[in-house]
Amino acid sequence: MNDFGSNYGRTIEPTVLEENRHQAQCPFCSMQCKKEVVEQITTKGIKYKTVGVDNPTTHGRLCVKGHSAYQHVIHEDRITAPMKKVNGRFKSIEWDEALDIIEQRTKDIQQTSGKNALSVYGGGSLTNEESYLLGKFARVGLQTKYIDYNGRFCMSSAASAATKTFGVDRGFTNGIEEIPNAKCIILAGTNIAECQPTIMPYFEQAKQNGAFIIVIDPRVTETAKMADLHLQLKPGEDWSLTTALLKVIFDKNLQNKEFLQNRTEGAEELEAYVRQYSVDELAKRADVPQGDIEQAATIFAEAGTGMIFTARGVEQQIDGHQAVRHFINLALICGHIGKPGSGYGAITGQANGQGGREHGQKSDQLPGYRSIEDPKAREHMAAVWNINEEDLPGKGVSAYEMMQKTKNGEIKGMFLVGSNPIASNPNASIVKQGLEALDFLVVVDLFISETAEYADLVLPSTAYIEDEGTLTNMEGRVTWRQGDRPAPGQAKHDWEILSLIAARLGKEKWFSYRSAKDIFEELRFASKGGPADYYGITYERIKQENGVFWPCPSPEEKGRQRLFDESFVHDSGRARCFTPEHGEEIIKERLSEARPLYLTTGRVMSHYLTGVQTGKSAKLNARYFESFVEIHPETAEKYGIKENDLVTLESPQGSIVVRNQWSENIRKDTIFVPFHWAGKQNVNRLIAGRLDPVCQMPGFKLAAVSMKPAEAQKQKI
Amino acid sequence: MKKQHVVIIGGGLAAIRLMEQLRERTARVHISIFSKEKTLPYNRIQLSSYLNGEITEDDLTTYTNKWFRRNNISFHPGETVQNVLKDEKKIITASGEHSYDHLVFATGSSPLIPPVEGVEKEGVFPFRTLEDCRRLVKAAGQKRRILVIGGGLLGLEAANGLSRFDAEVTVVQRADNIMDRQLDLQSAAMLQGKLERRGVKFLLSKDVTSILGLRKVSGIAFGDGTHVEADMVVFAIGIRPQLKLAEASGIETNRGIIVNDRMETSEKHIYAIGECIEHDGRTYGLVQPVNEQADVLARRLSGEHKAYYKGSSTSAKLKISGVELFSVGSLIEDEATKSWVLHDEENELYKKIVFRHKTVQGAVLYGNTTNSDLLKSLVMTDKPINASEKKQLLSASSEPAGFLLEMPGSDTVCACNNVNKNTIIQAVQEKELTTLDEVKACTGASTSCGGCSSMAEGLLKLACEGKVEAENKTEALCGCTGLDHPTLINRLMEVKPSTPEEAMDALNWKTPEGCEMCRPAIAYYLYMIQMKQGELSSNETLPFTYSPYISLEADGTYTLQPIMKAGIISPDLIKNLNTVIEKYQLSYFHITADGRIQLPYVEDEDVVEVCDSLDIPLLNFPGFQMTTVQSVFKDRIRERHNPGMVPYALELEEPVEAVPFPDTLRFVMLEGFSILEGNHVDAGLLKMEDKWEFHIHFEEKSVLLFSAPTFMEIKEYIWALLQYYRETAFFKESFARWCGRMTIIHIREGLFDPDTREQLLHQLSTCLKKPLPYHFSIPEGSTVHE
Repeated sequence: MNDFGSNYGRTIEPTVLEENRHQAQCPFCSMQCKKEVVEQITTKGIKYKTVGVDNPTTHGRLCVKGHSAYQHVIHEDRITAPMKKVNGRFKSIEWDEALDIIEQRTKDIQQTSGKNALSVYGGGSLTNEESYLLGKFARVGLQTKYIDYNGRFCMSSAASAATKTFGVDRGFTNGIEEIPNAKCIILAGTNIAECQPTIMPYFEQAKQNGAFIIVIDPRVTETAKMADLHLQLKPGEDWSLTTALLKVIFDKNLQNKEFLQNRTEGAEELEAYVRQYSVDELAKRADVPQGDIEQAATIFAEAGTGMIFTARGVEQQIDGHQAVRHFINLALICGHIGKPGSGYGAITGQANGQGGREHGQKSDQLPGYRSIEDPKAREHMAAVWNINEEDLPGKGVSAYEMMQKTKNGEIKGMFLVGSNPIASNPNASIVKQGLEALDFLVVVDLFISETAEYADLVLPSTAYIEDEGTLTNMEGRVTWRQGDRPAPGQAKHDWEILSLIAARLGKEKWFSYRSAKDIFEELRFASKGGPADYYGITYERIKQENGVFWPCPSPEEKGRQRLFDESFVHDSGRARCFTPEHGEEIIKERLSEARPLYLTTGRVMSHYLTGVQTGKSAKLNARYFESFVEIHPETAEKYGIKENDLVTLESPQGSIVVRNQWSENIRKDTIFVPFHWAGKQNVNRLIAGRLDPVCQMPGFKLAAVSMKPAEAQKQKI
Repeated sequence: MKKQHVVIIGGGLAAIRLMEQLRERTARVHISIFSKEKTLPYNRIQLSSYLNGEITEDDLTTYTNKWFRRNNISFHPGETVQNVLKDEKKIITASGEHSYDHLVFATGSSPLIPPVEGVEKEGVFPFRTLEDCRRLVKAAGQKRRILVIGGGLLGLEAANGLSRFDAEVTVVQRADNIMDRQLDLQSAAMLQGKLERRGVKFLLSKDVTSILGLRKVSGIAFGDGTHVEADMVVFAIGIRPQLKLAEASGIETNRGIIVNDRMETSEKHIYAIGECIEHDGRTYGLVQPVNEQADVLARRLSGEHKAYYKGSSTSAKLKISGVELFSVGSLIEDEATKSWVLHDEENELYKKIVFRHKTVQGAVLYGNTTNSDLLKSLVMTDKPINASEKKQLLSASSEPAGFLLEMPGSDTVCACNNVNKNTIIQAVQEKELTTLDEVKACTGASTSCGGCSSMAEGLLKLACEGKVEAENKTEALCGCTGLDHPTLINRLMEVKPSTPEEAMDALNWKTPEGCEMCRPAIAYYLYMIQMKQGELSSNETLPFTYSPYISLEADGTYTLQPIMKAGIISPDLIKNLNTVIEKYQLSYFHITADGRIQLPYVEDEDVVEVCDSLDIPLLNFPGFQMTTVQSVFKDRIRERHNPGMVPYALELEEPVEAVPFPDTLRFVMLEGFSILEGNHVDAGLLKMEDKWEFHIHFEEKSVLLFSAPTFMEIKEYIWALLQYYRETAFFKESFARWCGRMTIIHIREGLFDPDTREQLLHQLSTCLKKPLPYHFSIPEGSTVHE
């Protein structure tokens, strides 16, 4: 029994009757901290504790999420049997019945509306095996072109920017252990101190080694507090800021000419483009002191080694692709890439944000990071999957666009695995209408999420600690998660569920796996020769070598930890400096009298994604159990808002009501709301549906909004 | 695995540091130390204090023979190593052969005596070892004029030490200013002035050419043709790595024994550390680099393969003649450098920082060495300085620990694991922690991202030095006892007295009857203990005076307090009050500040009857009660009553009306508000459009503690919270103070956990007459979280 610190408790240690130790990796970010959950059956009930396990990336460190990441697994709300909606309420049924319904409804829809009337929606927390299988399920099982996943909202800007610049997209171009060797580090739009706390010691070490750290963020985040120089820019002005940084470097003639000449192309065009601008003007647009910009540019350019990291603050913008490319331009013109202690990194947020985007969950992509429109890639995959190339569907549409298609009736059925789009999509009301318009929705999850409420069937999945598989961490290191806790009740692994459904649809031959390892063996061949080549990686190697970096084209080769030492992946071997076409500048939302404040969004330390899992943990919820808006005290006073009181925020898309918190750490023209909550507190209700033209990323990190005290419901006297 | 044998040649600082570090890290090595000196190891840095008479020889010795035996270290004083047989991994000493697995040269250095004419004369001394000092002390007493050759650190220390004798002490320096390697002209002049005031004389820009005298010293001749008289000459011009044995053993040497980043010499299994080495072309003569080298080697020898020595910065932090001095990097200026100087003549403070481009090239701090660590790291890493570092460096007087001192105790230090300043200080002071690792293990702070490690370390330092105290450090209950609340509770649970009187007797109360503070506290704690352990047999054990509704006044009458649930007065109550007042000839009833009714002057013999007629429970429990849940709200103009809330208030209050609390709790129920306003209540339940919210008054703000969609759910959270308060608060600890001590996050962690919540409800239920109407079932097996 827990005495919760009672003054009158008797501290008799319970006797342990049985102990089970489960090896796993924390599911709540891309660090994939290795840990062990110890489950002790004692005379006083079941006792849990979490212990960090040594590994090359996090060395046994855990943050509060990792320590608490068993609480949702054992939560009473977890579903452990298939749930069918009957008269608006969920009731548990047997698997056979669930599969009967799926078979029937799927076939009906396919007959009446065609194969593309079905769709698949995935998530960045699935294992590599499950991400891969979900793609195969859509293309071979259902034969639909409509598949996409929530990574679209997470990584698509950085992914497209890296692919276009380098010819390949691996989150970090260097191993994480090189960070302490960087002499100057730029952290742009990334709050690692709260989102990936266990990465911080690398930066602390760099700082001790004398690195000059520059943080770019509209808020004084915990990360910004570590900075030597904080550029507290106006939200969404990364493009102006980076252009100014580039301009200073060219003006001072600090660019690495040798690197530009030997390793890149397009540098002259970039220089000519940047030279049109004046630093003064750009500094004003970004609202950052010009002197700070000059200092940042000079120190970065003059440093012996330099690294740049970006995350959602830069990427979740409707010019996210361009902004990231400009940051990479910065690394290129200083020659800070492809060398020890120099490189670029996109800090992935989701547990398998890296692996999840490599193996075919994306609408335009086949396993191994291949393009679905590349005839050679199609041939290769058709051969691996043993189907005719012409039976392989073509390119579909992005996640948000898929939701629009459900709304207009083009898509009638959806299989949704490990995602909560109603909370995570922009313009959330459209998503709601889209889900409501579906004839048939199957959700695979641990809980009845806000999205699952709209489902006809909810299928019980297994939690991270029960589900074996590989995940690729933010570095590009493929890791193996043991996940050997027995599945509770009727719950099944995602891959088992997909295989069972495929079998009902007559595709058993293509989905006859006995383990996650079987799927990985197939994935190895599927990815062979692709940019994300996993062919040389095996379960045995991952276990033996404590993770293996991709690309790893053969079992004899070591995985490549640092990329681009000698050449880039484009045919020319060069990296491509990016110059926007004239007039390509994307005009973002501006402030007006009606909407006088910028809104930006982000995470808090104790939660992950839309809180479906972390919200079930007492420890994590204790820190934040509902949303809030962070306001500068002067701004609050200006709008007549009392500290801690409720506030209504409004945009043309919708409105939310949240409590306010005062903080000096935010710009006076900006407010911040975390995105972990649904319903009335779902900040994505305020976000417009505009997408980045290159990668279809919505602009989550910027909206112009109005703010006022919430109407208190005055009682009738 | 067999124990590895580590043999150390030398018994100086490097050897001692290595031995200490090895012992701390591993028990798997056997250590042997062979020292040329016949004495026990001593602290060479303090030799000048010994010379000065500030400390005795015993103070210098750090370890005794007994200590060596106990720690399984073979210490061989006065045993010179004659030969090293590398191939056989053996050394030869006077006592014979000794084999080793790892051999460490820590042979140190010898004083540099220049080849000038006459150095062999009587009265010429080196200044290096304890033995040298003994001889100096013995000789100095009878001398009239002592010359110390060398105006560097060593020479000044010697001169400072010798200045206590009657003799006139003169420092002879070849350069134009003293400590020319570490100080600029200004700071050197300041230091010289300071020493001159202590009676030390200086001869600058003097080159010694010969020592005069027949057999004994009579003076010194200089290169410029001048000479001075002296009857004693002390050479302190520097040191020379001691290389003889290494050279004879075929180990590669240059100015010192050449080592790599792993402290390895050119020969397998042979290492070198300390003043005898040359690393990356540099030799070292200060203690800090020597320690760093010893630490690296200790880590490697205990199996850590990633330890490397990257050289040390040429910084020196010293204390000469009471003056704090710090110097780092190079102070040489040219066109590309810019410097910043502060010279406070009145307080004898001097500070100079030389910048090159955006980095710090060197600095000297005289008088106040604040910021020396920052300067050292800036010089060492060549890092461009940032705005806050600049501000810190350029401020005239900065106290880096200032913000840690000012920071409120409840402020979070480790955001990852929710550890506040108080927790760290308390842990350090109560458990006598001394290292950051201990703080980590004890509090969990800095175990995730490590971002707060410097703060945690700073707090550890402040707490160790006694500069900070935990804010809510528990204090003795009152003057009647030395016990604080937690200790009292523990003692009561051990001793198990049945009455407060018994308790006071058993626990050596200073006053036999206790006082108004401790008596009710003991009664309350006894009640809670018995309740909790299911041993509360009858209510008869305690007199009425412990009931919150009935209080005994000084004049022997009682004041009674009828219960007004939901803050309303029923017509029946008014009727009964009237009847009672008439019947027992009472004068009046009055309204208390928090809106309750009190009936004074009830005679002893009438109490039971009056209580009966007024429905006052004849409870005999100590402690405080929850005041009636108010269903009144105030708008801008006046107070309004909200009848809609009455049923909810009654439902919430009913089960807990007769439950004792550690302190009075003031509750309000509101509708149409989204925060608690005003300061008159501890907590409030707010009915919102689609949910219920529970707010508390905390740090002068309305803080949302939890919310729930239905009243059914929120009332269970509230009851659980009340029980949590009862179980963990101390007597008379107000609700707000308790929240501060527990932290809001911790309270929520308990309440949000279904098992803990259920246990709390179960506990509360057991002390009620009627079981608590909550929906949880009694758990079969519950869950414990760590």
